[in-house]
Amino acid sequence: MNTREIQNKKQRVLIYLLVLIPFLYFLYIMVYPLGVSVYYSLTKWKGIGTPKFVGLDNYKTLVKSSDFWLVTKNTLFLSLVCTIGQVGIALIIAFLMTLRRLRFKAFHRAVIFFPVVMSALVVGYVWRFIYNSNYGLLNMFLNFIGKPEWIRLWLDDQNLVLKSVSIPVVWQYIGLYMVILMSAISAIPQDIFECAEIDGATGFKKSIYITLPMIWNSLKVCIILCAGGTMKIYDHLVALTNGGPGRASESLAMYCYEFTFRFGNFGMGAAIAVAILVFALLISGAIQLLMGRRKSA
Amino acid sequence: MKKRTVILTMAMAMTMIFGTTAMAEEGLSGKFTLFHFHEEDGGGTSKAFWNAAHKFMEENPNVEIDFQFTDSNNYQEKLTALMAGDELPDIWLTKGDMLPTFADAEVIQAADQYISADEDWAAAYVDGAFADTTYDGTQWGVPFQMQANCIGVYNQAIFEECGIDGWPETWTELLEDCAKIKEAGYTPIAMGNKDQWLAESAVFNTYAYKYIDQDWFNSLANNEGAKFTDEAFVRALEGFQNIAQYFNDDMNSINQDEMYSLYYDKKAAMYFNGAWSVGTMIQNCPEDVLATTHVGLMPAVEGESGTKYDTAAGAGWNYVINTSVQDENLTAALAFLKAVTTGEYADDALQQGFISAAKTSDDLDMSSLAPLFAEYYELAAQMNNCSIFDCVLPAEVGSGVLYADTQQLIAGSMTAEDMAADCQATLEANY
Repeated sequence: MNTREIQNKKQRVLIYLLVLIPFLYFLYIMVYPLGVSVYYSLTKWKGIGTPKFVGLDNYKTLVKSSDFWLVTKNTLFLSLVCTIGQVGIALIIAFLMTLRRLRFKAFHRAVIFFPVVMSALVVGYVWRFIYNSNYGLLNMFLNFIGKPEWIRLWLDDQNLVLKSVSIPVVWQYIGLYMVILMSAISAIPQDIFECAEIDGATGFKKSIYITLPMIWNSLKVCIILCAGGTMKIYDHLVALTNGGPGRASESLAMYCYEFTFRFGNFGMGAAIAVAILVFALLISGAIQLLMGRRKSA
Repeated sequence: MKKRTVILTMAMAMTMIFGTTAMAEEGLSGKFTLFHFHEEDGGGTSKAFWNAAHKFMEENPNVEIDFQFTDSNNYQEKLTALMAGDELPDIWLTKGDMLPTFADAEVIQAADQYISADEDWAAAYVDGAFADTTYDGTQWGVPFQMQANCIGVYNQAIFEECGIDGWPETWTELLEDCAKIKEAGYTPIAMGNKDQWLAESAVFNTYAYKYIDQDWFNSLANNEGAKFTDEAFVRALEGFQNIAQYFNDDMNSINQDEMYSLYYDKKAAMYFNGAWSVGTMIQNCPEDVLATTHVGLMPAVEGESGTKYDTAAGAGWNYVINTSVQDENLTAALAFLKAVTTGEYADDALQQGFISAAKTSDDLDMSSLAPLFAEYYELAAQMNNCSIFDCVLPAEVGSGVLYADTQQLIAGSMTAEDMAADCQATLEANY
């Protein structure tokens, strides 16, 4: 119902009442837990008894902790690599899918989308076998092609491990963003492309000057979803390395889980959760700011 | 009058006989929930637990037990979640480092008041069984095992192939043997530290006792002067970093099971792990490898104070009882805990390949034990049991910084001094 269609006060009250129900539900399941988390982040609590209010102590400890900044750096690195990898490759594939000469599009789409429906833990364990130094497919392949000098300890070398773990994550979710971008492309009116073709635009020019501006908002959503989602990365890393060696591949979500459930330090765990939220909001805000000016045609 | 007395006496006698029979048939009654990690189709500790539990349930059909199982890898986390949600069960398993939290919050009741009231029960445990269940002078939990957290397991055939006579007596000999094994193309010591606990808890902890002693550790744990940065502990870290050159290269990306695979496949000559691995070997090791597998104590380091007998060992986990369990439920729960920790359970435990916290019966046929376990059993009798770090120290230190830093230490990405300083800083923040 359009607001202009509201006839009288009684109808207005009814509408607001109906909107109030889901709004209260939203407050209860989203805003209230967030408020509780913020409260716990200001306390010292072992999960039992009464939480002791300690003000900003947990945040002060976090800021001073080198481990916190290390896992933050890891998470931001993964977020950047995954966003460029997932959305970038998905965009290229989505462009390629628009080529008329390409055959078996449905098959390609299904194959590329398939990893998305797999459990992240399964993907993690599969890739752990691929990376295994004794019987892993990757090292066996390198041996097979006569390049044994390229063999590395993919998950044990702390200078390499973050790059190694980012590959399965990128691989898994390319399909998701490809489908989103393909649906955005399919919504572009065909006559625009036809006009461009008459004017002599090639496939590459069509992609850059027509498709990209037309799907700009969808692309922005994909980047925000990807960057924000990777800030919560957890299960892939647990299956692949468990955060090791040391904390070289540990993410903020793992760090939060560790404090909360392994150490029973709920106050610090909540402070880390709030930090993840702040980082995710900052990243989303930055992306909005950077990409917001360019409007779709 | 006389006739009436006879009838009354007979009636009383009948009542007593039938009454007693009826009680025996009914047995105990009550109900409780038990949160645990004993797999119903598992071996070792789990099998002995379930044998005893099934027997108890058959004998006490009126006791209703709700067994709530969680895999041991996720147990601690799930327990923490239950605790935070105020949904703790009636009985659960916990480690020593969690006892202060539960005891201070008054959610568990002291076990010693009940155990000492039952003479048979109190006399059933071996010396030192309650060390990991004691906090503030009170024994809060009921122990069920006494395990060495570190034992050396080796393949005699590979040793002989490399020209090594037997298990080394000193650390220098071990290093020399490792060099020979590596030269022969084998991995000298298999290590599977992906989950971070194995290198620290099951290997380094015992290695550290070659440099420090129980008094030092007590002083450290109670903030009475000892520090991680003390010279002896730093030397232990350096020594451990040195032996890591003989671990498999992918030590930090494979787990315990994959470490066993290296040993089963004859790629590795030995490994160090907790005594639970003896049961695993008996159950899963290929026959030809098992036939040539033996166990040994971690060698002493020349010039240091510790001996080869000093081993991190103890009860580790123990059962605790919720304060809300009372009356007949409490009676049933106590009877159950007695049944699954002492008596026939202790004998059965040995048959299943592990040592319980209770004394075995005098008439137990020791020749029926699996040969590898019999070897371990002999060694265990000689061990000088020392505290397990991660069962005593605060979780942020014991299961946190010590685990993570040991992983970096053996990977060579952290120095002994840096690790010691990091551990000390974390410990001081958590006293």
